[in-house]
Amino acid sequence: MAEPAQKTRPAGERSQSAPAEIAFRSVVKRYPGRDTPAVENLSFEVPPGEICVLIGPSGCGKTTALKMVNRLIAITDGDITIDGASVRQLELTQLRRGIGYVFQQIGLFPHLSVENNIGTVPRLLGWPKERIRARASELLELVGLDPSADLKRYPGEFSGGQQQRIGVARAMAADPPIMLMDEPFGAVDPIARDRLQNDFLRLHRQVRKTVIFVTHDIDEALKMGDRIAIMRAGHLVQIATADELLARPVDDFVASFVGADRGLKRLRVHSLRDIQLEPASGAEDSSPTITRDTTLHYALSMMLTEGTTQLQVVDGEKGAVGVVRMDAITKLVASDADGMPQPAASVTEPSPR
Amino acid sequence: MIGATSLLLADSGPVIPKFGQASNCIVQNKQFCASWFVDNFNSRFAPRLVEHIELTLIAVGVGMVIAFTAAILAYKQDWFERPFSLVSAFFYTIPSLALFELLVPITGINRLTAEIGLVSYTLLILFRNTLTGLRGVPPDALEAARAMGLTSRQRLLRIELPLALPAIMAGVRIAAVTTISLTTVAAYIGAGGLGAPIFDAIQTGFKTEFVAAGALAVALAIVVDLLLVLVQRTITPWRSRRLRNA
Repeated sequence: MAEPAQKTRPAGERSQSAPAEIAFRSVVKRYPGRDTPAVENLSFEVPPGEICVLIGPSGCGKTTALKMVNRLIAITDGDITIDGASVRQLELTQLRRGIGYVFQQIGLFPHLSVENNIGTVPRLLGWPKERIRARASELLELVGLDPSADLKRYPGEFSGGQQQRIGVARAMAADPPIMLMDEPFGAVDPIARDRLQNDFLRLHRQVRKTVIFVTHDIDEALKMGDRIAIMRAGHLVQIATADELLARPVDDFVASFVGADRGLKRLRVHSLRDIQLEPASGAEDSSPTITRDTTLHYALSMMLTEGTTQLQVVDGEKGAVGVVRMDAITKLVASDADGMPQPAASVTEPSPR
Repeated sequence: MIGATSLLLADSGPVIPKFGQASNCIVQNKQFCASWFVDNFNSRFAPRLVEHIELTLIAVGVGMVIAFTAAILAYKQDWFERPFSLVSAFFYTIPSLALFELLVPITGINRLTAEIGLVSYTLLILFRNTLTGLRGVPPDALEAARAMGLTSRQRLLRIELPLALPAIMAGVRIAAVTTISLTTVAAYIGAGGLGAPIFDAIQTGFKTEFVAAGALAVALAIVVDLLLVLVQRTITPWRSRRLRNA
C-alpha cells in the first residue's frame, strides 16, 4: 500500500451542520398478522435543534416510531420528512449516515479501537485518516473521556457508562443534523445516568442537534425533553412542554402517567428565574442565600431544612437580586402553564393536524 | 528402504537391519535409539516431515476455502445449511481407510486421492465453526452497523467476519491437528508424509523408526497448534484486553 500523502487538515475544524426539522405525517406501522397497528396515524413535528422525548408504557409504539425515522423499521403508511424530504425517497445508506443512532445496548464494535469505532461513518464517507483522528479526539473530549489515553483502547476496557459516552461520540462523528436515542441511558446505574443526562444536555446546548429521545422514565423525559410526546397503544395522546404536561394533562391517562406528584415535579422544571422576586427590604439579611439558577425544588427543600419561608437570591456577579418567599413558589405550582413567565418559544403549542 | 528389507529377509537372527555398524541399541531393537534417529533424520525423516506439512497445508487451505464460502452462503441463505451439513457430516463419519479405498478406483493411488479425503474431513469442522462464529456476532453490534449505514457487504467484511474470527480460528486449530493425525493414514495410498516410515516400521518391526515418526507427527501437531494460537492472539487483539478495573 502506498504511503498516504501528508495532507493534514487543520485539527478541530468544525463545520457544523444545521439541525434539521423532523415531521411525522400520519405515520402508520402495521405488522402482518396483528389486528391493531403498532403505530396509528402518528403526526407531530420536531423543530430544528429541539429534543423531543417519546414516552409511554411498553408496547405503546415509541421505539417503533423512532426506528421508522432511519428505516430500521419500514413505514407501512404515511411519511416522515427531514427538512421536507421524505425518508422513504432517500437512499437508505445515505439516510442512515446522516442520522446519529444511540441505543440502550450501545452496540460498540468490540474488535475496533475507540478511534475506529468513532471513525466508522467518517471512514465510509471517505474522510482522510488525520481528519478522522482529529474528530475522534475532539469528540472524546466533548463526552468527557481522555483522548490521549482512550483512543487506542478497546470498548471492553470501559465501564457501561463510559461505553455509552463513546456510543454518543460515535453517533455524532460525522456531525449528523439528527440524533435518534432509544433509551440511551437505560442500562447504566442511576448516578452514572444522571451524569450522562446532564452531560448530554450540556453537549446539546453546544452542538444543537434535532433529537428524538425514547424513554419509559417520566423523570428523564421531563428533564431531557424540550417537548414530550406521550403515546399509548400506537397513538399520540399529548405533546407538550414538560411544564404544560404537568400543569394541564389532557386526560386521566396522562395525569396518572406523569404521576400524582406532578405538582412537586413542576418544581424541578422551573428555576428561580421563573419567579418574580420581591425586592430586598434589608430585614432578611439573615436568611440563607441561594443562586438564581437553582430549581424551585431545591429552593423549597432548602426552606424546609432551614426552617424559613424566604431566601435571598443571588445572581452571579450581580450579587443579591431579591428575595423569594414560599408562597411565591406555591403560587407558581398552582398556576396554569400559560401563566408562566417563560420564554414564549419553549411553550409552543403542538400544531393540530 | 529396499536394502533394509532385503537385509532383514537375509538375516535369520536379529530382526533389525544393520546399517553399517549397528549399535547395541539397534541390534536389540530397543524402544527408541536416539543416535540412529539423529543420524537418519536428514535422510529419512526430514523429507517425510516436509511432505506431511505440505499435505496438511493443502488440505486445510482448500478445506477452508470451501467451508468458508459455504458458511457465508449458509449465513446469508438459511436453506443452504442443511444440505452442506449433511454432506460434510457424511464425509466426516466415513472411516478414513475406507474413504481412501473408495477413492482409489476413481482417482488412483496418488496425492490427489489423499487430498480429496483429507479435505473432506476438514469441511464439517470448518463449516460449523465459521457459521457458529458468524451467528454469534452480538446483535447490538449488528444493529449499530445497520443504523450507521453500512451496506451488507461492509457489515460482513468489517463487522461480522472479524467478530467471527475467534470461532473460525478455533475451527482451523481443530482441523489442522486432526488433519496432521489423519495424514499419516494417507501414506497407505502412497501419499507420503510421516505415515510412510510408520507403515514401514509396522512391516519391519523396527521400533525406533515407528516411535520417531509417530513422535514427529505429534510434535508437528503441537507446534502447529501453538503457532495457530499465536496467530489467533495477533489477529484478535481485543480479546486479550479486558476491563482493567472490573
